[in-house]
Amino acid sequence: MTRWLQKIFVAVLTFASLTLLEADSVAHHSFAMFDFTKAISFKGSVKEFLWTNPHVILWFSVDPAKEGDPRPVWWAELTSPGNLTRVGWSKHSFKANEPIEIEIHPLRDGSQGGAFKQAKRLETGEVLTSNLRDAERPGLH
Amino acid sequence: MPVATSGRAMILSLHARAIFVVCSPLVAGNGLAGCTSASDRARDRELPFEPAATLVELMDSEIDPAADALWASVASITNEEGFEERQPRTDDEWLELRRRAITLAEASNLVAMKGRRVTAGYVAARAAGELDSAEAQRRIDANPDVLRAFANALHETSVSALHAIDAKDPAALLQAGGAIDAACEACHLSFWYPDSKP
Repeated sequence: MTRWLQKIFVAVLTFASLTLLEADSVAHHSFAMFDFTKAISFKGSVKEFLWTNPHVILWFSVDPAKEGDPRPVWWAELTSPGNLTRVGWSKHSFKANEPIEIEIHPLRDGSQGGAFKQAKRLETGEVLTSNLRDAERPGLH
Repeated sequence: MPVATSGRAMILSLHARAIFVVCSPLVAGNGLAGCTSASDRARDRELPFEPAATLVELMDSEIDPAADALWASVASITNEEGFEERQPRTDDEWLELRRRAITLAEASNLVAMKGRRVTAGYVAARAAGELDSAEAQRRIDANPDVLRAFANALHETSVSALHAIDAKDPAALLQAGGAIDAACEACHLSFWYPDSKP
């Protein structure tokens, strides 16, 4: 393997590790990190849909505010696969690059993430909803 | 034989003789009933276990890493590269997960153990809606049976994960992972962040 190929390989591995770390970093926490008094919405497209415990994560690219800007990637946290399955979701609920309009309760610290509220498929108009806090309340499992 | 070992052996020997002396007349008169009763009394006494870690340290060092490993082991990932099913595939991967499930199941017993403090000293709440360590401790002290019930729920769900692992069944492991999350969440909503409201 040439040196530049090795560098690309390392860079890809590093990116994959960072992505997984980001997912893991939101695995265990209280709801206090999200501001449920606010909701913000974006138009964009699905980047990645991770169906796993304890929280399903949806990464999405946000349409740029200015032409030529890179499309920032945000994430939205949902409840567990089991809770989502009970209300009709599945591991195939989103496809890559699917255009969506998504609404989230943002993180209090202003970084690019939040608690999922709803997403509308722009191609069909179907709306998917999930309330993270209500789904995680005891007695609903 | 070293002195310490010799002395310990002598003490053990004396204990054995004492038990024999105490039990002998009872055995003669009432069969084994007397000895069984004595052993029951001994069993009912508080066992001399001393917690070395706080509840937060136990979560951080055993429960959270074990649960994270179980949760991360099964996933479905959809992205531009396609669709991937992540799951344990080799015997070694299943064995490693089995170790994590045993850690989690047994650590839940440690949560239920009496005398464990939430933290060593006062720790302020980190965010709105979360309890500080003093209030968390007060609630646990006032409701020890509730904490024990949550710990039992974690134990049962961890054992479910163990069964799924033994059956090498990723779907069952995903389901058990959800139940483990629900058990964790129920306890956290009582003793960690009961007031995380808007």
